[in-house]
Amino acid sequence: MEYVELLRVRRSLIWNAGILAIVVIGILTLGSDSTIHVNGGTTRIAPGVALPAGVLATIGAFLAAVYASSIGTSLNRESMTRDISWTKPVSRTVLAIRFVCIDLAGVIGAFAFALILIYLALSHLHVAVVADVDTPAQLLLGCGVGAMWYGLLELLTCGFGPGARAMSGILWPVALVCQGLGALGGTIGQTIHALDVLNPLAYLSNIANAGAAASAGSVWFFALVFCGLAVVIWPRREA
Amino acid sequence: MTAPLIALNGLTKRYGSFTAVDGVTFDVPEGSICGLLGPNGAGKTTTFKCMLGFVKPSAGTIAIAGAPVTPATFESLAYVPERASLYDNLTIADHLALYRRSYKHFDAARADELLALFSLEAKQKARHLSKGMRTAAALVLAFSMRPRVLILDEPSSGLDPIHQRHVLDLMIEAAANGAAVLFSSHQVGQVERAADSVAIMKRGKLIVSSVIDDLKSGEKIIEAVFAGPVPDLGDLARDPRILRTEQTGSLLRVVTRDENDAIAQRIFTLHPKSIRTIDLNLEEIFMNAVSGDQQ
Repeated sequence: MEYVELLRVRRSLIWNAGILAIVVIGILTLGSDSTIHVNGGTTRIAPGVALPAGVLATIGAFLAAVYASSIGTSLNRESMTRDISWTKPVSRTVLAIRFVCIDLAGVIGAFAFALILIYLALSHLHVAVVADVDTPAQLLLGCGVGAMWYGLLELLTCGFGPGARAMSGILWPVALVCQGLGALGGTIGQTIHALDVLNPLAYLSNIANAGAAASAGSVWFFALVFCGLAVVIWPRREA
Repeated sequence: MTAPLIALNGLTKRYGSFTAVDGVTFDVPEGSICGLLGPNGAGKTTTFKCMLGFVKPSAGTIAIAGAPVTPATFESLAYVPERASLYDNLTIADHLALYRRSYKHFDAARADELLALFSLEAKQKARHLSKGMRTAAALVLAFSMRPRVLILDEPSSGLDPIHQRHVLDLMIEAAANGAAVLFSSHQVGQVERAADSVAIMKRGKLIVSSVIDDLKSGEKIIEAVFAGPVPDLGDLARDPRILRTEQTGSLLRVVTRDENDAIAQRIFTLHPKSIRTIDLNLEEIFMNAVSGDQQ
């Protein structure tokens, strides 16, 4: 039920925001002298340092993908209570669309919250965030990575039983390994590199680079295709 | 006879070469209760799943209130599964709120009455409920919808005898208000008490579908007690009017369909100490149906 999904997304957003806020506050408290400790050495962040907005969007995209992992199996989870949700006077396709819309709104919310929190933290450290003409596309791409991760998870799990929820954990190492293998040469490397077009994490490195607009189009295209396929598959599965 | 609210016609469900439900045809008129009986694996739950659209039938038709099942059907159809599905993170009150948003005819006052009837607290989270309490909560949700069609799969599963009685009373009350109730149970006594008609399934096939009173009036048990062991029945055992015989020590029980008096006369020639003819109860009818090869 979409009401239940609304509650789930709200709860997971609160948890996500809480954990993120604790981590950021912790870092700010420990590093209130604007220093970063690396390998025993100390580097002081000089006031007035500028950080491109693309870096911010990359971090936000990663955190949005982490959040998407927590809600990306919503249709699979709902199958466990199908005796309630499939006996409601609403078509299953409409129900699935509502679920996906609520979840995508949650992913966008998580991305936005991450950006705001990181921005506030950087401001506290006197680091300026520099926006340019590419920033809107970078933000769109960053948010799209989270949405694509969500769509991929939903698609991979919507047609299966409860065990499929482990996919939300397994997908991370698989995506990272695939991205690494894509750098290899030879036929296997090229094949995996070609398949990386379906790997949301492969787009992370594009966020702060040129061509973010084209990549943003791709990730949102795949995000919507994945979600659309999940919406088509889920109502057709049998109990 | 009133129009059937539930009508199954040639319902068949195959999984590969296995036929879980095989050409099942029966109906449940409005204002009546039908008990669906059958041993485990008979196809009762699969029949329910087909009716609810959880699985797609391989053949046959299902009509609820004269129309195929669509999302709109569920505005007036309530289903309680054998293992009650609830959202573990939500309280019973949350579930009630959920149903109030989903169903036009949801009756909040009725829900409060039913919560009290089943001794449930609205603030309890579903994850903390026992199996019986989950079943009770699912029943509260179902009956609060004021449905015209009720499909209940083992509705008293896990409930104590007092609450089991409440479930039967609720079904009878719903039928009195015009609902059609179809429920499965392994407790034949419950079906006998609540149902007007019975459908008995075995290995996917419907082997009995009738009004209970008609079934009872058609078959009788002739019980004879002998001074010693039951004598050889001779040709009597092969009499086509006899459905089944049971011998336990000096007791002979003969289940007959027709001409009970004539059969009793033949048994009397074997010189029993006593002989009597008794009505068949539903348990006997069920046992006859599922133990023999009767189709």
